[in-house]
Amino acid sequence: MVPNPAQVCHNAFSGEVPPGMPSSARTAVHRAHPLPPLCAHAQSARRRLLAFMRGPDLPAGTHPVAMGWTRPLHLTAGWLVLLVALVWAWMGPQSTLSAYAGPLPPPALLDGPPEVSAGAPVIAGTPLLQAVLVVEQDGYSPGTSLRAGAWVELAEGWHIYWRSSGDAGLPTELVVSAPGLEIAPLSLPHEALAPVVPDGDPLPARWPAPRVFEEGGGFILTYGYTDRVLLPFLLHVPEDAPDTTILEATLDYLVCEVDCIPGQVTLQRTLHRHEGPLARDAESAAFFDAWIEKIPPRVDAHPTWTIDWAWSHDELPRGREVEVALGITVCAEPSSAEACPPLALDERALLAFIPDASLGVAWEQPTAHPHPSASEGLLVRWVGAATPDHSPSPGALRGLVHLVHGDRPVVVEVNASREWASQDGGVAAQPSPLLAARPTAGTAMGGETPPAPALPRLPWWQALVMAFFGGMLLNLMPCVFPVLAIKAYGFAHLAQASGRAKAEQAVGYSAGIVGSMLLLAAAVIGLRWMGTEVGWGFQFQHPLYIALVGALLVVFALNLFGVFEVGVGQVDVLDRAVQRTHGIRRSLFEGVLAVVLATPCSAPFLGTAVGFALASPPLIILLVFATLGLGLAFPYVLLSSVPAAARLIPRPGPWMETFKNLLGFALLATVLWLLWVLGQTQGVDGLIQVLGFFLVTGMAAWIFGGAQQREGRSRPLGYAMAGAMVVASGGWLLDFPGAAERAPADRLVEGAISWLAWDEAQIPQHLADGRPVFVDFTADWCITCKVNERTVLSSSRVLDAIATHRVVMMKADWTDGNDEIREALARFGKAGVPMYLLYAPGRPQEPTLLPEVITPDMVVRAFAAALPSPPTMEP
Amino acid sequence: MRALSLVFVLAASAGLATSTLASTAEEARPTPGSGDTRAAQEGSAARAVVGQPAPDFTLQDHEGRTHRLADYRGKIVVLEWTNPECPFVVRHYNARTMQRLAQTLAGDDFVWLSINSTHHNRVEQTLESIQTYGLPFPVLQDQSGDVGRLYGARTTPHMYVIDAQGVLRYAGAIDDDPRGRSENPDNYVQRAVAALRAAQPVDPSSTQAYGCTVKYEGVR
Repeated sequence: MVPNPAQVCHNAFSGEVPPGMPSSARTAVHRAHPLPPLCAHAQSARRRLLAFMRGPDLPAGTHPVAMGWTRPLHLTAGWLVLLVALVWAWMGPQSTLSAYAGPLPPPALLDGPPEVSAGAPVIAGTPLLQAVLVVEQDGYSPGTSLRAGAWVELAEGWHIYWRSSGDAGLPTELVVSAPGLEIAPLSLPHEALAPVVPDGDPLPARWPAPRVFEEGGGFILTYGYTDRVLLPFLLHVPEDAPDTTILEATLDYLVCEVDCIPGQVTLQRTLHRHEGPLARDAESAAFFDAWIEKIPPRVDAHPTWTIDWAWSHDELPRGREVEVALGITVCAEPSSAEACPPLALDERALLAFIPDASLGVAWEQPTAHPHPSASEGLLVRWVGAATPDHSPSPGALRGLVHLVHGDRPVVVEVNASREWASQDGGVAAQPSPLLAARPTAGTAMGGETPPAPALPRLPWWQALVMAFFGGMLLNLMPCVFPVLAIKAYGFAHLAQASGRAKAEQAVGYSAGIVGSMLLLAAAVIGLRWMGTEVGWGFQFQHPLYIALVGALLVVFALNLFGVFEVGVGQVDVLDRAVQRTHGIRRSLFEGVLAVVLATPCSAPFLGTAVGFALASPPLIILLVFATLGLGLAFPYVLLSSVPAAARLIPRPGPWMETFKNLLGFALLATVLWLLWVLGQTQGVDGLIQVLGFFLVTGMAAWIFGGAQQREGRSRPLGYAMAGAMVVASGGWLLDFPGAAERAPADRLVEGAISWLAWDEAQIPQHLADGRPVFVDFTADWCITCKVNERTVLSSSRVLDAIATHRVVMMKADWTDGNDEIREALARFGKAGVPMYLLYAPGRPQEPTLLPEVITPDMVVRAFAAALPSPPTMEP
Repeated sequence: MRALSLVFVLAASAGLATSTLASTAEEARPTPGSGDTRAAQEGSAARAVVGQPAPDFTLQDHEGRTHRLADYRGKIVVLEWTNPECPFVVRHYNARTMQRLAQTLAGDDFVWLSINSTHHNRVEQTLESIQTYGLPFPVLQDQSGDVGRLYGARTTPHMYVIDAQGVLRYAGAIDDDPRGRSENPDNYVQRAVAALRAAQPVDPSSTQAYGCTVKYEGVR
């Protein structure tokens, strides 16, 4: 039959197969009738775009049809563009590069005007560091001030230091002299003019805010500049300034990459007196303005903020703990968000506080709190250890604080000091609302105490009940969520189907779950019988498992994108039976997937139930795992059996295609998490291997999808090729070195807490020091553990409590499997992570066991209970 | 037409992706915000606190002999973190600061141990530097950096003085002259040992150490 060209035109864009036309004939139609250029539909760009984005129009109850091979690619590409655009837009405003890098000086500043060749500046120094003096104007007029600076350019990868170099390095020093002129450091608007520096003295450094460099995995922190920086200063021109003067600056520096090279460079520039005002060069002025903007202003001199300081002591005690609080009031009275943007510590800065050197007090990083009285403001508190030594200068808090005002990062300079007391113990200050008293155990406790450790001597039926509820709660854990979402999508189809079809789906899903759970239980029994002790989530200790699960998810995601179909050979007019078979098979598979993803997650009750099971005979293990599976499946079964639920789901339509694709991305997000776990254990190389495998698997899926469309011999050939690719690449790429090659524990994890590796032998020593010990049993593949670490343990309240009570934080990392950790878990009745133990001083044998789901409140109260009052530093 | 639009879409996304990756790569060096505020590096990471017992350790020196800190109980122990590749250490070695100090302070109640925590250090290099600078003390090999981190050693040189009872009494710089300008710098180690021998309090007991960073295993 000769298709109507208009029909062909329409079909080509909507992708619809004209009824009665087999898919192979469609390809033939395209070849025989290339798209007419004057196709009415083709000309309409708007319609094209709509067709592009909307996808096919589906008749009700039809199974989604796989269009030609370009359709899913179009959709995927469209979403990719959107995703990349979003990422790019998000990253743009938050780019920190702009915060540090500044403009290059305009050529006029560097070369000097050609007429006044005698004044041409000299570029001196080694190739690692090049410096030149730059002056805002070519000459100086009496009675004015002139901005100048040392312009420093560094070789790539090298850096110099700030006025305080940090843990190592050497501060950069600038000594400037200009006979007849006066030198002073810059002062910013709203600040008092800085005093003139005597000749030969180093210039007080009012310099752009430095970057923070990390070395040794974050163990060593230094502050300085890379790439290029302007170190500005001010030249005051008196009335009796000479006709000409030589501006000379000596820059004393330490330039480091990995190695360090100390150096000194002397820069010179001849300047001439100019009668009358000089025209300002806009480019030069803009250059200086841009760099001076990077100088942190003094918080005390802020034009609109009100600043209050409060110290714990009026005269500081040597060798003791001191506290200081800075209250910043942005708005005293309530006001709109535009007039009064919120103020906070900049969470994105590597260090909230960059301290100056030699202050007499070793300050910890500050904590932020809401201002006690201002409507919009901030309270920043520091705790520090005062030196026991005799220091000539007063104890000071001096440095830079990274704030964010609204969404704008702001760096300010703080400076406050107190004299030393002559007597021991110092002179305490009057209590201030800024330094509210710390809670003691008596007031904060209430009645609740953390539960004592429990051993799993439950009656077996109680364990089953816990397993069932634990399984239900597992549905809410982030691991299983994508599968649940997929089920919800499938529900849309089912809602229109008969009761029998729905029941079949529910049974299929449950069977998939329970079956895989039983398999898992059998595996556990088998491994134990062979002598290997395992715990919950053990399979995630093996990178091969992660790789295979990840590949499976990628394939599943590609299926949702429409790259290929599962179970159906011909993409055509639907048969109820065909749909049902496909549906059941798919439900089974989804059930298995749910179990595969659920295992690394822990839910309340789950740990106890599984712990009980693993300590019991094999029959109990099977029973508990099966009940777990039933609990996991239960919500879906319930939903599909309630008739009213069906009415809540909208009728199938084009939205389903979009939703399906979205779910594909949700699955890819889970793959990202798997890759992170793998990356932790195998590093970048292992990651690339696995990603390579995913790439080949994706291609194989695409070939498979293409083969599904074909007739005759090419189809099994396509299938065979896809299968061969997967097997070959798997064999070649999925080769991971053993866990023994990994570096042992004692990793310093990024974050506000300094973790120690768990070492039971060391715990009594810490307790003898009067410090409680908190042990976090965790693993990289345990999402609940990671969420707890990031949200609860790193919350400011808990960090505060850790600092106040001097808690030793230990981490027992079970990512690679470790018999000692597993034994410890078993000792407390747990089969898996997370597990939290808190040892109180004086009670090394009886730690308190915190539950798997913790809140900052719970942790803080537990710390307070472990130690009656905050300790003072011993001299 | 469709192929063209597909090509355009892919090119646009590739362009956006590259520019995003390029900007992130630039930001990735040195270190932009990590999103977490950090506590001071003191605290539970390093366990050498002035006034507290010095943490015990066992290391082998350049000749393979084993040294254990606890074995030196009863003697004043000076630990010197070193790295002959660092210009600060070289300046001191050339001025014979450590060599002379070790020989001046030598006695039955005294031992000077040098520790090299550079992760790429090899024993041959240590032997060479001992030869070159005439170092009269053993140089313990700590390539893993474990002992360095245990003591919170951040610079080379970084000095620790432990009294005869095993308590850490001084930690910090070797003297008050980071730039090497002074004719007669105040040597804190000499002061500390003299104070210990005279049963006097050590003052200063802690100073900001200066020097190159200790070259631990690199960025995570």
